[in-house]
Amino acid sequence: MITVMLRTVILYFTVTVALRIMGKRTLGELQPNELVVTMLIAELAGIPIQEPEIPLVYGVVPITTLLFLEVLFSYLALKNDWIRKAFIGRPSIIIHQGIIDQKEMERQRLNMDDLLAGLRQQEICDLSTVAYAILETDGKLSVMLQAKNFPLTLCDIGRHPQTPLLQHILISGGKLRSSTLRMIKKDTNWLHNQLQTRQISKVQNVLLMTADEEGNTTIIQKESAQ
Amino acid sequence: MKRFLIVLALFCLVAMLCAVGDTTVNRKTEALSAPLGRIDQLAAAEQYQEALVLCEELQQAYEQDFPFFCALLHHQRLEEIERSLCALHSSLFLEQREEARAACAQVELLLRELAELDRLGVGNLF
Repeated sequence: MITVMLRTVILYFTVTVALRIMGKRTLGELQPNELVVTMLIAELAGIPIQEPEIPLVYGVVPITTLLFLEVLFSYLALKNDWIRKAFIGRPSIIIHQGIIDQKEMERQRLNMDDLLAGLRQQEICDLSTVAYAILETDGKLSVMLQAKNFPLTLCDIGRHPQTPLLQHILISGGKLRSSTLRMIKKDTNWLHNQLQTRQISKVQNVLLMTADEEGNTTIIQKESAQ
Repeated sequence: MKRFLIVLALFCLVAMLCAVGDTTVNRKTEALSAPLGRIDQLAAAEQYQEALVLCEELQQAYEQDFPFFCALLHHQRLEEIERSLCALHSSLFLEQREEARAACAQVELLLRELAELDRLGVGNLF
């Protein structure tokens, strides 16, 4: 069984290195090490399920090993920049101050079609409007527009609206969430008062009740209780 | 940090269980292999009744260890051992000297393989 563990460690590193060499293009929303774990776990879990002759430990031991490696390297990457660079990589600047870095594109094996497709996915059709385009470590393209192409905001026209407060769910499907009530520092008396002002007698009659930190509520009554 | 420590503890536990499992498999297969030499000698001397008694004891011991082996080892390997033990028993019962000795050697080889297939070593790692 220890052999199975060590084989898993070897495969983890092999597949991670292979994916790092393959580059960001192959990833698509997952970091290299995350993709390795996802790929291998899916495969490992399938083997004992499909073949009853293989003991479950042949799946459980490698999966536990992968879980450990994943958590270990996430932790180490958090603490150590070198490990982060080795395992996760660095973002690549493809467009810098409006100028395409052709060498970087070549290094990332990205052609113009790929770049334009990435921009179109961000709803950008004109390359000249882009100030920066960065290929992130998970393979996604982040884009910053030229200042003149920034979308207009309320601040630009001198309006400074209040940031809306987060709505917390107090009652959902007739069930009270006491933890939310404590979080917004209110009690059941306050809740019942709120319900009574809307002529609702029971919590069970409420489909949804939300409240923000200032105590502003939104209540939707169940159709059956109306 | 808390999650990391939990996973680390889980990993250490699994690694420890694996090490204990490996050691127990080795110990059990060695114990099962022990009477095979004697059975072979008895079969060679055509003392089939004595050999048959030892073979039945071996089969019983194997059946006792079977659930443990099942949890840790590929079932196909275990089925091969079962078949070979049956062949050994039949050959001794029918007093077939050469077949009995061949079956005895096969059981010994399969038990050795059972211990060696998962043993930690460069050969098994790569």
